[in-house]
Amino acid sequence: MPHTSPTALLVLHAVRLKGFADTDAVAARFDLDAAQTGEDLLDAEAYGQISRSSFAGLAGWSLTEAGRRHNENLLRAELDQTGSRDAVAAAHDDFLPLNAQATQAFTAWQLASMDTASPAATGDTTGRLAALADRLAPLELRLTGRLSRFGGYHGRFAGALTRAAADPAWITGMEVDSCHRIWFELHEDLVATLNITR
Amino acid sequence: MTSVAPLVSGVPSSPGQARGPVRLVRTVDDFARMRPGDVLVCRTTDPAWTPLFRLAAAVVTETGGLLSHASIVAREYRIPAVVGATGALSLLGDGTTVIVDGTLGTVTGQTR
Repeated sequence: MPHTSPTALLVLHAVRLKGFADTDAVAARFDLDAAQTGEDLLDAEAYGQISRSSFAGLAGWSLTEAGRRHNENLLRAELDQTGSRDAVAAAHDDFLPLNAQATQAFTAWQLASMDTASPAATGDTTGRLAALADRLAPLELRLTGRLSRFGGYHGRFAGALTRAAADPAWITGMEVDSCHRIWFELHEDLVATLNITR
Repeated sequence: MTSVAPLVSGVPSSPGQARGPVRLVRTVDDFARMRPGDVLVCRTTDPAWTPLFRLAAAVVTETGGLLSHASIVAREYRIPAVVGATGALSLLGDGTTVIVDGTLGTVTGQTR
């Protein structure tokens, strides 16, 4: 039976994964109630775990160093309590070669786009990313078999890939939930959960 | 007088040249010091650092390579990046004006 993480962990972890996000985006990450998440975020701010700041016209929450440590303590305790450490570590080991392929595909796409005045053809890139999506699905199942909070990456990635055919911003763009942003988020999730450096 | 020898060099990972004051950012608690047009100098980046790329004139990281997330994000924002720049946090002085060349992989400055 997969473990369902407590809301307090999910709110803080959503801030970690999104990096910098407003209350609605934090709540949406794990489909939490927006009003309650707003209260939880204010509590976390009072404890010095998150801070609210503005960058380049955007305002949002991000973890403080203390909040980052608290997040990692909660994740460590959850891994130990659920006996999931070995399974998540094994999934991370299998993620790394896929990550190498993904970052190569993203980089090749960007370099090809820079070299031409007209938009580069997406076919080769989307083909490579579709192959990775096929590998991501069983990897996610292994993770969600332990911790349900790992669910959703494959669905989001496949959705972004579908949209990329019509709009290449969905490959590596920063203003949409692009393939790269989703992949980067999963990498951060694994790194944070295992408390390792990338 | 502009020095020719780079202060720091690394992997050129997002092309172009930009000039600005160095902002050494070690943790998220340093983020508030970042101003538009600063050269972001750090060890590595994670999703929390992405907003800084919107402000930065250029990015220099001590770790990473052409394929690292920092490189991908810098190319997306079209700002020069030099990654794998060993020692950048200790060799570059906070507030010092530097020129980052993301095509050559160099960070050059002005001699005092």
